Amino acid sequence: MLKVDSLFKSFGALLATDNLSFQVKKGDIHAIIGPNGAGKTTLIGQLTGEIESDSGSILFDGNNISGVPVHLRSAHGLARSFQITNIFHDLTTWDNVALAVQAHAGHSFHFWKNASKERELRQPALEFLGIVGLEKRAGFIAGLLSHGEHRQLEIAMALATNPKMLLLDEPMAGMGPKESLAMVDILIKLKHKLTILLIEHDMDVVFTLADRITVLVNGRGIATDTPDAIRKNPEVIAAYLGEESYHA
Amino acid sequence: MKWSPRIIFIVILMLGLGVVPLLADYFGEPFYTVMFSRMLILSIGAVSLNLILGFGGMVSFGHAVYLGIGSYMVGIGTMHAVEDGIEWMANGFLQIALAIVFSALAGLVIGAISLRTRGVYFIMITLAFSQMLYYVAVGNEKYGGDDGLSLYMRSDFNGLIDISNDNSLYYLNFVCLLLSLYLSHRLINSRFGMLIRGAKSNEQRMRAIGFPVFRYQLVAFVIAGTICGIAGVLSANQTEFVNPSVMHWTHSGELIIMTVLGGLGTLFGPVIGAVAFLFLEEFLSGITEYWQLFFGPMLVLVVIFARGGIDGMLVGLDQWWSRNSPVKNEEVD
Amino acid sequence: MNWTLLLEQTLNGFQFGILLFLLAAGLTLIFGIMDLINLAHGSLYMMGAYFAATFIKWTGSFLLGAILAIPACMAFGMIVEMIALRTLYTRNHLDQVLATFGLILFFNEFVRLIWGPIGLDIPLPEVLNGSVELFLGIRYPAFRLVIIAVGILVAFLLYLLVSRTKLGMLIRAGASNRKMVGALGVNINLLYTFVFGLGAALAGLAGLMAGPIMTVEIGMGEGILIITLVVIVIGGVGSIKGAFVAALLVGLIDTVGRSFLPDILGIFFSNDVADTAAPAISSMLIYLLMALILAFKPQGLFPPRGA
Repeated sequence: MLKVDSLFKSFGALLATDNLSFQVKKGDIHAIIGPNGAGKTTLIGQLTGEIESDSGSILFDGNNISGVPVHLRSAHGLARSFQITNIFHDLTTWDNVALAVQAHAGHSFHFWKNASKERELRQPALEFLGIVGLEKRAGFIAGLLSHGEHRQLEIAMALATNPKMLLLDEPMAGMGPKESLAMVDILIKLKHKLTILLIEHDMDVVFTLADRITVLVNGRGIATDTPDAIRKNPEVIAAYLGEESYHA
Repeated sequence: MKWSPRIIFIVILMLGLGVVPLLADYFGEPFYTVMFSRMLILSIGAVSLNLILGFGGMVSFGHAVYLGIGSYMVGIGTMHAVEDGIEWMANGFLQIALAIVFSALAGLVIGAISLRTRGVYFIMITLAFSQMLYYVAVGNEKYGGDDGLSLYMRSDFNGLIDISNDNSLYYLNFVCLLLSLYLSHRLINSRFGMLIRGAKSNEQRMRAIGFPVFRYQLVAFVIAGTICGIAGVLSANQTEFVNPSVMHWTHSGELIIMTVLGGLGTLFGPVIGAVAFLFLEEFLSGITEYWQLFFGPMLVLVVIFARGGIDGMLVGLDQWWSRNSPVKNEEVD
Repeated sequence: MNWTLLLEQTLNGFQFGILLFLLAAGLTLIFGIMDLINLAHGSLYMMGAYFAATFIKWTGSFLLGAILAIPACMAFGMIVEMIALRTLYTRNHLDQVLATFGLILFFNEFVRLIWGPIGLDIPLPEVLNGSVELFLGIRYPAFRLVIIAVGILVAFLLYLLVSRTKLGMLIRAGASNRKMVGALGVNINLLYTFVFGLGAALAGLAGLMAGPIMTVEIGMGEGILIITLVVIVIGGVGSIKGAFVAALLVGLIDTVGRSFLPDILGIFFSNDVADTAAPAISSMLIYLLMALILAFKPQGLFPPRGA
């Protein structure tokens, strides 16, 4: 589904992505882990097109999307949620998702018909809200939802663009235990229905959900394997888990 | 529709605007027809600005340019009609058509360059473009230069409407205002409008879900300019005079003030704002020669304390009303 | 081509650029540090001219009056900052544009109330009233040379202040990262008021030096404010270096353009066309320049770091 090949990116002297290659298989939940500053955020930016890579290629579903601008990557079927909640605060929850549906429904040069009465936007939007358990919040102004609900809304919006792959940038960040559990449930529901690239700090979540894991250290991918194999990989233990237990 | 103080206020305002010439004639004060006519025209300008400023979040500081373009279409046309005897150039339909074409073109060029920038740069570059066109008008001696053009006749609408009469012109303005309100109501609730509002709320997100934001914003920019260009045609007919100061940057500032004073991003806000602005001007300048001494600080206070403008206050009144209304409570039960 | 005229116009352009820089330096600092877009900056320029005219009349001395006008303008700016502008720092640009637009209306009316609707003159002392021979018999007004000299001196002092002092370090830090400075435990309110006062003093200096050349009148700050805004946008908002380069660029292009465009156009078109088109085009030149620069560099020539 996704093939990243010898990707480089440097910011001045700092090598944020250093000859990074890995593959994500269709239908997998593929997690990317790594200590702070390992280059996860840069990688996400490169995948979505917000950061231009210095060299290397990104093959998505057989197409090279390296030079493709942000809004067209979404059209290729790559949807993302953000590390910092990123929704339309002053629109209703329903409107938020309806906009995402609209984004996928071709051009928006419709000047006359009332969009809030268009069934082909509103109905699917409600269904996506149902998947993430927010249908009861449809009429609320999105800015007034709780933090956990914001993240759920983001997932609904990402799903609404009908993606082949979902890029989730720390979906559990800042969540309480109960909210995290709800999010894990949502991801389990989605598992194997579409490919998910998950960037996450919470190791429990990663090892519960992921089919495969890539470990990033200083911009390099030191291993890509199943959770069990990663757990046993001595290099990973040394570079990553060692530091993690040091923090703990 | 549920009746609330805000709705009632807006209905009274619009109905009131509809009968101004009748009342003015009845009381023998035709001056008020002219004054309210100006309010209507500036309302159209503010409604069009509100499309991009209030709903789209694009702070254009050069919107008066389109008033100028529309005005000069009338001024130039009428001048040739009167001085060179080319009668068809005084035709109002033609002038409106030309105003639409040239405003749209100007909007396209200005927007295409300005929308590449954001924030304060956008404000400044729209301002710069309006100053550019201002100086074009000032430097153009053939069409009056700094002194402008006096119109010896108003536009001719093939005898369908005779706007040489102030009352007919008033109703032409009124109908145009209603049309612009209806148009913007349809626009902001359409898919296009959703997109524009979404881009105001969170542009990065709009791109991430796959919208090419720029081209939609550009179209909104052009539409707003075009509507304002039509207001320019009406404005020239109203004042029977065209000069460059109509597009001076302070005039653009006043359009922004009207829009914000009334209530950004609400349908009727700009109308309320334009009426309130001209009322204040009239009222304060009646009291003292130094009226801006009071108007200036008032503006500062409105910005600091009344963020939703007058419409925002009405919404607050509505909320107070629904809390204290027994009928409403029963409905909730 | 008339070389004497070209030299003279180049100097005039330079002198206009210096005035623009004095205004732009304050405006760009205020924007860079407080994130405030202050349309009323032109009013401070106007106040500087009115203060100077008044003090010069009182004291009977040009120098003394001018020296008094600068701190007066600084104090005036600081008071305005404390009363009206402080609450606007956290607001969006639209609110700031509106509120400071309101201030312009207020100041214009205020001046009309105090000094009356008729403009004032700032008479020059004998020493400065004449002209100086530069070389080869080319003469240039002495006062304009003074403006250039004072402007360069101030630019140099400003450079020293910003690059060599602790205060300057705070200003630079504030321009590139506002939150940082707050985190350092600096009294932000005081810093802001001071920076605003500094901007007001520079604007006042520009106003009092412009006074004898142009007239001191209501609204004199508005035309030049718009050009100053063009300058800081071309230079990159928040950059003093950008303001300096852009101010000289704009000053030269505007002045030289106005005097030579008819001749230049005359080469390509008939004299008739050149004579009618030239005034309009030369007024547009700086705006064209700005549109052109922003089309290629949307953040101006010297974009602030971190933007």
